[in-house]
Parts: sequence; structure tokens; C-alpha cells
Amino acid sequence: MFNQGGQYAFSKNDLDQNSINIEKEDAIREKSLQNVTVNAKKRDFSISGSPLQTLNEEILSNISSPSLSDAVKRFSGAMVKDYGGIGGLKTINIRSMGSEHTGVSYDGVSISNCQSGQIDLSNFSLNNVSELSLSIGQNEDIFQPAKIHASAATLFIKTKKNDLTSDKPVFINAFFRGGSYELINPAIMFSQRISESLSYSLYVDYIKSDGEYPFKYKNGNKTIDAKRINSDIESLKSELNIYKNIGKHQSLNTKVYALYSDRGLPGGVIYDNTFSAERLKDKNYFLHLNYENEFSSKIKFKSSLKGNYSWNKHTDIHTHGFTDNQYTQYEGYATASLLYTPLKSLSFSLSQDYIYNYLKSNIENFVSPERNSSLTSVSAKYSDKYITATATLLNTYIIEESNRYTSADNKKKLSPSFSISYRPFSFTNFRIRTSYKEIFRIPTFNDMYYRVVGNSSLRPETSKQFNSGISWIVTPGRIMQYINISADIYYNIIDDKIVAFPTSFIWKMMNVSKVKTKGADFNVNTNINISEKFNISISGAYSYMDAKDKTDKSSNLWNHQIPYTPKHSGNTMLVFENPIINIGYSLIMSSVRYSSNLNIKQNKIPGYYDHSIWIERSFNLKEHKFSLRADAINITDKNYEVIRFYPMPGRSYRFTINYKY
Amino acid sequence: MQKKIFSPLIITLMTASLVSCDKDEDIILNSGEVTNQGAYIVCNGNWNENNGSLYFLDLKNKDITDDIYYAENKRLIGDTFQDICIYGSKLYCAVTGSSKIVVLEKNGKEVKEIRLSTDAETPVSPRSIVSYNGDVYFSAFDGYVYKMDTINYDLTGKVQVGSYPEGMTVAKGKLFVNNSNHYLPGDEKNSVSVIDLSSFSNIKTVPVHLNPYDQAITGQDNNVYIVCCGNYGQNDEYSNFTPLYSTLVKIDPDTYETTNLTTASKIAIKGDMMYIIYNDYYVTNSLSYKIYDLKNKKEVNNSFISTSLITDPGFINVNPQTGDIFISQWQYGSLGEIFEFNSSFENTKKYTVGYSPAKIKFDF
Repeated sequence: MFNQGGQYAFSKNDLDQNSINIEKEDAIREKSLQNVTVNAKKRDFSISGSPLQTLNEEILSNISSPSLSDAVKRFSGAMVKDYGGIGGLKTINIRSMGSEHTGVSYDGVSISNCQSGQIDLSNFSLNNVSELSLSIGQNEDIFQPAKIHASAATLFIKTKKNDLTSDKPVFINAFFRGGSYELINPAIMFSQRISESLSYSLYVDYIKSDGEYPFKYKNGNKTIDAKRINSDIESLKSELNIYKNIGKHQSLNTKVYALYSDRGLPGGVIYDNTFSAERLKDKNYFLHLNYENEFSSKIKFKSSLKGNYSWNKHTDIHTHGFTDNQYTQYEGYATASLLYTPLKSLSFSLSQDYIYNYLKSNIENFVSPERNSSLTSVSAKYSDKYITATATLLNTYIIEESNRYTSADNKKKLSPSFSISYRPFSFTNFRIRTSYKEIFRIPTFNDMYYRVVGNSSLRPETSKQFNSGISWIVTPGRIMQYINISADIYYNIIDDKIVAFPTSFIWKMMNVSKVKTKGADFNVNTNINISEKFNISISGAYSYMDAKDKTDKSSNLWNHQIPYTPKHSGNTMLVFENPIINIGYSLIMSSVRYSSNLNIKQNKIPGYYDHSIWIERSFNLKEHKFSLRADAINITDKNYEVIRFYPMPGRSYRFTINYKY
Repeated sequence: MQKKIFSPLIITLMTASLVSCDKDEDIILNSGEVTNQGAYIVCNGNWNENNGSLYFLDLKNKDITDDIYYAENKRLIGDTFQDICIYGSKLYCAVTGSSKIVVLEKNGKEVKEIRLSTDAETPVSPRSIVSYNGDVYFSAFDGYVYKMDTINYDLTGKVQVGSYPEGMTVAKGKLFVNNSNHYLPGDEKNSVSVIDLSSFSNIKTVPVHLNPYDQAITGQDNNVYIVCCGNYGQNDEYSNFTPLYSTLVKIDPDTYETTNLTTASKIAIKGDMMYIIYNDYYVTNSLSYKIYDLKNKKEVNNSFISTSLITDPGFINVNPQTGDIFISQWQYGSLGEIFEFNSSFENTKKYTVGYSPAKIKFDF
């Protein structure tokens, strides 16, 4: 009973000839370990030429949160801008490049937000996620939509799909979670196999919490001891997936997604003024069709169509009056990719994407922009036992129109990227890798058209990434099954960074700043199989980030660490499995950060440690599997902030019942 | 092998030690004496960052003292510190974001904090603050002007004005209040309310050029001078906007007759001379520093300061005794600066102050 797909199935890339080779080698090794019955717990490590970190379902189940953002915090080089609480905004920032540079792919299709450019991870649940991976720089899987190549880093979210057979045509996975701050979170996934070629799954997830957690805050010699107010959330997510195989070589999958959420935005702590009435309602629906055809062993084709509607309503009560701003975004997306593999070690791909975006609002005199984007990528990959090399060239062409004369110029850009990984020795899976990627982020609709401050003449913000590193999988023996090590050093340059710039009397979005980041990411994990029923897995990650403002040598910001980037951060996880009760411990830590570009004491946010523990007991009644779990999060009740003036919750508890059939 | 097993733990411990190390530098870099020949510099701080500050400038020795509020009280004054008024031996501070009035000794020591909220528990958010005959008056975002006595610091009355009142000035026993309406769509976006201070009642609404904002001054001729920002010179076919430029408007305090004098964004007065910074957001290269003669109704200087020296000016003020000129500039991501010029317009000094300097007020 080993991991699905073999011990070292580096699951991101099933087509990767190289990984198949390794699987074979490792399968041999597995045989010698066959008497080991406990599932090996591990963090997948990439053999790719650029950093690729994967958290599989088992590791995800070790994370004490129903929220996807807490899992993302486990990736080295990733910072989650967390505004606190279940409903608080959570965006991902990779290697200090900025949230807008990270793309999010949900079951192969990218999720976008053309209005703000940032994806709020708090809208995603972990309950139905089977794999989460983060690819930084060049993406080695070349059989991907062009849009996947269009971000400096991509977070891949893969939802659960159960293997249903004629013997077991139905699968049920139900959760009920409750806990501090009046949290209620029931979720159910129901999958059914209708015929050999047709199956579906339905997922519904409801969450509600009042979010009123206590916090302490210091203004010099004065301590604010209060509760977060207007921090409640209620949301309902549902998803229907239909999986259809047409003959042996074709498949058509359909996904229908619906989200409704209503939450309070408590805002930052304002000294001596506790009033808060800002609220956000979201509705998001999308339909996604995915067609794949394996014409032959040499030619594969896939194509997706997606229609997305998202609406949000932002309301606030002011001192004098009320605002009710509603925004609606429409997106149409079509992509087609062709993979040609003339030789076992050589493949080429061509992808063409077309994206249509439109934003409107109920605000008077609102500029409604419309964007048509065409993305074309061509990639080549060479892969043998020792070397894997990929290269991608992406062409972006954007036409923008608006109902105002101020719409932006058309944009055209070519972006190259490549990666190489080399395995010098055949006896051990040690690899050296290096990669380069040049990409940009297009200004968001807010950057360009937001009332008064927007600037339609903004240029794209560019990024250049250099990465070199090693990965090593050591397999010492029966007890210590493996040690995975990866270490990378990198250098990023963000130029023409788009910031709100204070002109004389009104702020204006401008391409002013430049950031250079030198950093290192280090990951290690291991699994110790003490005996048949006792297993320990340990993982650790450390990141070093030296992200400096390099805009203007004469400015007093020169060489200051950019806001919200800790120099040192890390996390660790420890899981002890045994026949009585499984125990897990996890720690997230961060060094000092600054809330502003100027690194003075006033802007300093202290470092923190967040310790969590959990216990879990599973039992089976015939084919019914139950598990009971209790989580204690932030057990030391540490008062800390990720974003200044947004205190994080103190100690909290969660209890989960999981039923599987 | 043992070493390898525990390598994740070693990393954890290493990180833990790195997380804890922390060097400190102090908030107060320049400390000095608050003298009776000085100027108070109000710094808004960044919005929602609770970092308003009050700097003191010793005009004789040209010494700056960093945040005197923090130095005296060991905490920050709060969010969006908007305005002060110097009256008697006290400073009255209007802190918009924190929705409070703070009364200070002249050295910055807090005497009293008055937190303000409406009956609906929304913040009152005071803006502009002035004094007259033993009372202070402040405009507030809730659409009222409040009256506060200067002995017990009790609120003794309020009068409704337009929406989002901003700058105020007293002329001939009347308080002139700019109704900014936050430049939002609505009815009251182009008026000034007049309050008779003896009866403390709203006696008149004077229509003015679009968008009166935070500048309101009474001249030695007893006329009221305000700045109306128009639509910042926006020319927009879609919205049928015709450009309305930021304009200096004169209001006669007796007849309420209004006259649009010249383009202006920020103003300061000395005698009959109005010192003007003009910089309209939507008008490219509109920045100019000019002096307007109020008596003879003409511009007498159109570039008393080089536009390349201060490219993004904030406020302007003139020392009424010496004629020295002070102009602020915000810097991206950084602390604000204040440029000092002598009466022959030579740049004599530059000071670094808190985030987003908004006002300089002289105390003699």
C-alpha cells in the first residue's frame, strides 16, 4: 500500500519521460520495502529545472485549517498576505514579487481577477483539494495553456477525483467542522460512477463564523484590549464535475462552480475609533469544459473553454452617507494546446489562448474597460536520463478598449524562459538545476481606470527571475525511507513596479519603483518508519529574502527592505502516526517585517511564531471510515500581525468529524 | 545518519534564532525644545496607519523637533491628524481617522482627549479647527460644525452645514465653511456655509465654484479667500466634463458676492500678497508658483520658485513676520519634507518631517 502512483511519482507531470524512468527505478526499490505497510508521508519534491513544490493530499490533511491559504504558507518562498480571520483577505506573494505576479490555476484553468489582479485565497477550501503545488519561474510541464506561462509563479490547485470502479461505484466524503468564533463548516463530496465512461462528483461546502476574536494591540504605552468586530463570514461553495470518456483516447470534463459569500471587512485597527461597517458580498459562477484527445503516442491535444461571471458588492457606512459599489466582471477564455513527441526524449508544444475581460460597475462615470488578450506559447523539451531542458517563448498581445477616450494602448510582448536540470550520477537522484524566466504583469483595471488615481498610460510591470539549485532524494533504508532535500538560490528583478505615487495633491498609479531580491529557499523532509504501525514524518522549510528597493540611489528608501518581506521565514511540520492516536505539530515563523518602504522603527512589525497541534483518531466500520480530529491553533496565544493593524486570531480550537464511504 | 534525521529540526532551530534577532533604532531622532518662536507642523500620517505626528520647528535656531506628541506621551496621536489651532496656552488637534479632538500643552503633553461619535455611533471625524472669542470650532465629516469651550473642553453646540465640511475661516464674526461633499455626486458640491458666531446658527449658503476644499483664509482686507478645486481640470467627453480648474475664490463677508480670481491649488497670505501653488491633476505641466496681488488684482510673479526644485508640492505657508516661505513635499513611500525659503525666494533649509505633512502653523 504505497502512495498512489508509486513512491516517487512527481505527480505534476505524468508525461515527463524522465520521471517515468525514475518511477521505474524506484519501483524496484519499493519492492525491497514491501513489508512496510504504513503509507509513506512525504512532500513531493520536484526533479524539474525550476522550483516546483507539491503538497499532496496526505500532507494537506496534516494542516490545521479548512483554508487553502494556510497550506500555501508551507511553501518556501511564499508569503501569504493574511488580513486575519476566516473571512480576511489572503493573497499570495512569491519571492517578494507581488501578488499580481502569481497566477492561480484551478484544475488546469487559470483563475483571474482583472480588476485587482489578486486572487483571494480565502475563497478556496482545502476540503476538496487533492494536490497543491507551486511552480516558480519556468514551468516544465510544456503541455499547458499559454496563460499558465504568463505568470512569474503559478499556484496549481487540483481538486479530488475519486477512482470509482464497478465494485465501488459511489464515494462519499463528508466533513463537519466546528470551533472557536462560532465556526460551523459542513462539507460533502459525493461521487458516482454511472457507466464505464461516465462519472460525476458533487461538492458542497458551507462555512459560517462570527470571527469575533479578541486581540491586544499596543500604541506606545497604551494597550488596546478589544475584539475584532464586523469580522463575520458566511459562504457557500458548490461544484459539479462530470467526467466523460469518449472511446479510449478522448475525454470531456465539465465543471460548474458557484460561490456565494458575505463577509464583514473589519478594516485595520484605528486608534480610538472602533467603528466598522464595511462589507463585501461575492458571487462567482463559472463553467469550464475541458476536452483532451490522445491522437497517437506522438500527438496529444487538449482544449478548454471557460465562461466566468463574478460580481461583488462593497458597502460601507460613512460618517455622512453610505456607499454601495457593485462591480461585475465577465471573462471568456478559450485555450488549445498541441503536444508533439517525435522522439522519446524530445517534445514540442504549441498553445493558443484567447481571453476576453470586461468590467462594469454601478458607480457614476465609471470607466468600463474591455480587454482582449491573445497568448501564444511555443515550447520545446528535451529529456533523457541525465538531462531535462525546456524552453518556452510566450507572445502576448493585448487590445484594450473602454467607454472613455482614456483607454490604454495596445500591448505586445515576447517573453522567453528556459530551464535545465542535470543528474550527474546514475546511482543517486541528485540534480542540479538552473532556470531563467522573463515575464510581466499587465496593469489591472484598478491600476488603470480606478477613479481619479487610475492611470491608463501605465506600462506592464516586468519581472526577471534567475534560479539555481539542487534537489536530492536520498533513500537510506528501511527505517528511514527517504530524505528529500532541495535548495535554491535566486535573484529577481522587478522593474517598472506599479505603485500609488503621491503627486501634488492626489495619488496616482505610476510605474516608478524597482526591486531586486536575492534569496534562498531550503526544504527538507524525511519519513521514519519505526515499525509497521509507528511512523514519524518531519519536514522543514526555510526562506531567506533580501528584497531591496533599487529605485533611486539618492532616495532615503534606497536599499531598504520592501514592505512585508521578512528576511527569514520558515515552517516545520511533524507527524507521529501510531495505532492509538495520531499527533501532529506545526510551526510557522517569520522575522521582522516593515509595513512601509521606509525601514524605520515606527514601521516595524515584530517577528512571530505560530504553533499548532492536532490529534486524530480513525476507525473503520466495514467500508465506512470515520475520523475524529481536534486542532489547537496558535497554542501559545501569540498576538501577532501579518499585515500591520490586522491582528491575527489568538489560540483557537477546531473539531472535525470526517466520514468516508 | 542521526544528523540527517534531525536536519529539519536543525533548520527550524536555525530559523528560530534568525527570527528573533532584531536591531532597534528610535522613533525620535531629533529632539529639541519647544520654544515660543516656532511653528507646528501637522503631519496626517498615512491613511489607516495611525501615524499622524506633530513636529515643531524652532524658527530662530532653525531646529526641527520630531513628533512632540510621541516625545511627551510615549504613544502616537492616531490616524489622519488633520489640523491644529493654537489658542491661549493650548493646542487643539483635530484627528480625523481616530475621530477625536486632542488638547495639548504647547510642548505636546496631552491635557485632554475628546473622542467623538454620532448618535448612530459612526465616527464624527473632525477636520478643520479654528478659534474665536474663547471657543474653538471644528468642522466634521458628519456634516456639522461643533463648538467647544476652552476651559472645560465641553462641546457646547453644533450646527448643521453641507456635506463633508472642510476648511473654515472667521471673518467679521462669521464662520465660513467649505462644503466639500468629498467631490462626490450630490447637491452640495459647490457651496460655502456661513455661520453667525454670536447666535451660532447657519445663516447663509453661498454658491461657489465647484468643489471647495481645505483652503480658507481671511485676508487683512477682511475678505474670505478659498480654493475650489473644480474637477481638477478634467476634460472628459464621455462624462460631458468640461475642465473646471482649481480656482482662488474671494467671498465678500458682507454681501457674499463671490469672485473667481485666478487658478490656484494651495494658498498662503501675507498682507495683500497671495502666494499660490497651482497644479491641476488633469492638466499636464500645470505646476506653477505665483504671487497674486489682491489689491491690484493681478499676478505679480509667476515663478518665484523653480518647478524643478519642488516637483510635487503639498502645502504652502508664509511666516507673517519674516516673509519666509514654507512648502512641503510628500515623497513616495517615505517621510515628508519641508523646504524653507527666505523672503527673496532663496532655498535656505530643508527639513524631514513625518508622513504626509499637511499644515504648518506659526506661534508667536
